[in-house]
Amino acid sequence: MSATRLKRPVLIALGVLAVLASASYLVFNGRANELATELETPPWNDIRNDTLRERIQNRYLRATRGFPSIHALSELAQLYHANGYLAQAKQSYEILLERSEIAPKDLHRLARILSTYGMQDQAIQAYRQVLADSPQYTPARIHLGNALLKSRRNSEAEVEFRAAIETDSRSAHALLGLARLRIDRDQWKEARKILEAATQISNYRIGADLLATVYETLGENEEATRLRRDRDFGAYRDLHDPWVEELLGDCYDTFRLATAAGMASFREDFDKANELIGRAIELDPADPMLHFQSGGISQSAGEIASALDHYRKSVQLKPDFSDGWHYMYQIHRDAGNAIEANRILDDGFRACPDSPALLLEMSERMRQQSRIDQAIVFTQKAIDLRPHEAQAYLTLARLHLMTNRVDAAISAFENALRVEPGNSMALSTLTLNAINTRDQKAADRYFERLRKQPKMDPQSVDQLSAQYETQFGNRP
Amino acid sequence: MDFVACDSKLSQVFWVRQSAPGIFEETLIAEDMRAPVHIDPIDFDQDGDLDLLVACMSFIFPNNDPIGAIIALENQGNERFRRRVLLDQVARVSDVRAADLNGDGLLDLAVGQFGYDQGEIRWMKQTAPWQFESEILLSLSGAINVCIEDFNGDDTPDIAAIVSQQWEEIHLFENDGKGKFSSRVLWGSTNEDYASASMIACDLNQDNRPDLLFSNGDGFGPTPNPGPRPWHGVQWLENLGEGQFAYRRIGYLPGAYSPRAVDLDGDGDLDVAAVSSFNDWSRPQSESLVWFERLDSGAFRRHTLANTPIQLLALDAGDFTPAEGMEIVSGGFHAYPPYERLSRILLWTRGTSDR
Repeated sequence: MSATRLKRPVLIALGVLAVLASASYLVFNGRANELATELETPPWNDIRNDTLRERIQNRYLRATRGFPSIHALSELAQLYHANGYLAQAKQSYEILLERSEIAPKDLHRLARILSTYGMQDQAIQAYRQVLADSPQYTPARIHLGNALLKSRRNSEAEVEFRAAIETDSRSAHALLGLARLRIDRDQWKEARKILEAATQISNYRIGADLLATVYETLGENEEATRLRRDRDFGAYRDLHDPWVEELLGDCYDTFRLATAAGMASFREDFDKANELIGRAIELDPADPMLHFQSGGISQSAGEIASALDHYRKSVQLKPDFSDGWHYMYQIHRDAGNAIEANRILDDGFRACPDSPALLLEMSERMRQQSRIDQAIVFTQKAIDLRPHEAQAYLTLARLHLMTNRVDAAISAFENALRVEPGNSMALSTLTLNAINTRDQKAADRYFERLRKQPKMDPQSVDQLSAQYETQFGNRP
Repeated sequence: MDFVACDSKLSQVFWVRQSAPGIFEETLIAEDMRAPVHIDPIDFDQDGDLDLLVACMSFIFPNNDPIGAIIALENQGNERFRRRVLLDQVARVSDVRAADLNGDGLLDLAVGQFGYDQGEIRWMKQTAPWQFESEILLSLSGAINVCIEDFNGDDTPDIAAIVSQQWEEIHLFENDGKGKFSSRVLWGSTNEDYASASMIACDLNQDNRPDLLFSNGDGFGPTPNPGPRPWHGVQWLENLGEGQFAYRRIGYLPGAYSPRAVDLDGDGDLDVAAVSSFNDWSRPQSESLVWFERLDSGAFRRHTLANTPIQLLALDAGDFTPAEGMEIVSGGFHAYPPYERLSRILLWTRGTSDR
């Protein structure tokens, strides 16, 4: 066999490879060009962070020029999503979806964007596809349930909420969804049972608000009142969704990071909260509000030294930021460090003489020194600055009572109640005053309001009722 | 044209009266109005003058106490108004509108009660002059606005309501004409932080069917100061007839509040104006007043009308001055930093920066 004969098949093979490579290049380049046409140009004017700009540029070029990179397009979508460019993220995910090149996580992220905007038909389809690949991912299941619920596809929503509970029996959000379906069918007793389970699982973070309403609807007013009295309002926690939240690792927007840190702190995931707020501070170390928030997260986590460091940093960056001083002062005061607390209060008050909170602390200091008239001056200034808040009026009332200026105290309590009509301290004091002054009409009026305030301690109401009976001969 | 406004900080309702063309004077109508947040001017007692129905939250910041109220200011002529408390000691009231909902010739009320953890939508049947019976239509927190129109084309007034908090839904209560309502969700977001902010009924596409124009822009959350979210903006539910609605995004506007349908460019179609309350005010270019111009295609093109003053929460439109065309009135809400570029009530006139 000659060398020429040997070379010929090799040459032919090389030729075929070259043709294939050219064809592949043309096909892929064609796809890249299609992407370049389809994909909107990045919103360069809105991108302020240089690193983010560079990363977006890199992914955009890799996705649209030369050899196409689906991976780059996925990363581009995630960068957009992480940094709040939702229209661009949506478009990028949708291109991946059209080309059947989308990963379940990205599809879930697309579904979250769609369902945020209430485009539920598309979102439902996407969530279903995600769950076909990842049936154990409960957040997708619960979001699907909620999307179906908001589309009035209740029987399908029920299936999804039940499936979520099968995967995670402690899913309070899925129970909440089931309870809403029961309420929609007027099955209030079943809703109560489900919501009681949700509140137990979540330590009253999920479902308690609706449970109080359910108790009232069922005529179980004592239970409703107890719930409203014993639980802080505003306790609701959003559904934790790791596949979306992990995008924050690529976020360069300090407000978004701070918001996510706040959410994490609210669900008592302090490690995550610290990580996120720490990243925000790295990006903008001169922002006093980030340090202040970091201080709050540390304080909630019981890391007092770290909290003090961050509060101190916040006032170093912005000396007239009164909340930073006030929180530092409170920590030292509560720890019994009177000297340090007073030093901070002095420094803070010098820097922020118009801070209502610090004025009230100065008032309290004067009161402790029995300098009541001076305390009243500070309190009155706080009222002048914030006439629509009850706290300073209550302080003023107490100061007047200490010096037997009863009429002035009553007037201050009335002002507190005027600006905050549910204030239990003002309401109970004014009720007592009406009883003591034998003003039965006023006492009846106050009692009517008092009984409707769930935050009123029942023992106090009983005591006031007994005093009313002693004075007027009958129960109010 | 005059306008009325409420100041929730001072708990006042006042009348800004156009005493001569382009000259406005402010007259205090009522004090101690318990943090009023919305006024519906209507001849409620049908005696030929406008009365005012005022939604009172009693406390603007988060509070779950039953402290809300509806106070009517009955116009008695000669700039005198008689105060009537129509509803009291309920979840904080955020909106009230009047219409004859049961066809008995008396005006009734649709009421949105934000509350905080517990809230409600109710209608109040007027049984005798200024006397009412209440019926709860929905027990969810976060109701912001209620709208009354014949949304399903059956010639009876229905009620639509936008519900925020973690629910983030728009509900329709379809009326059988006798005051029996059936409820359904028209639209909803699954984002618990969607931040619904405002809603009005208007015929945005001028097809003689009332649409729903709404914004999401509430910036409060788990940070020391409020701020924008990337999904904030303005959108509408197009009424397709027979009770069907389609979601249409109009545009992005961080901190968006109070969208109004108004023909600002005088081309015969309805544009949308909106304000921003919770934008990133550290950036001078952040917008506080925006015009979404309606194009022939039906799409909207966004124009920045103003970057200052900041933190605008309320907006309305009308032909307030002798100049041709419509003008805008805005109201400021300055409850958090930065305490700068402040405003209270502003009249925005056309074609100039005068206000």
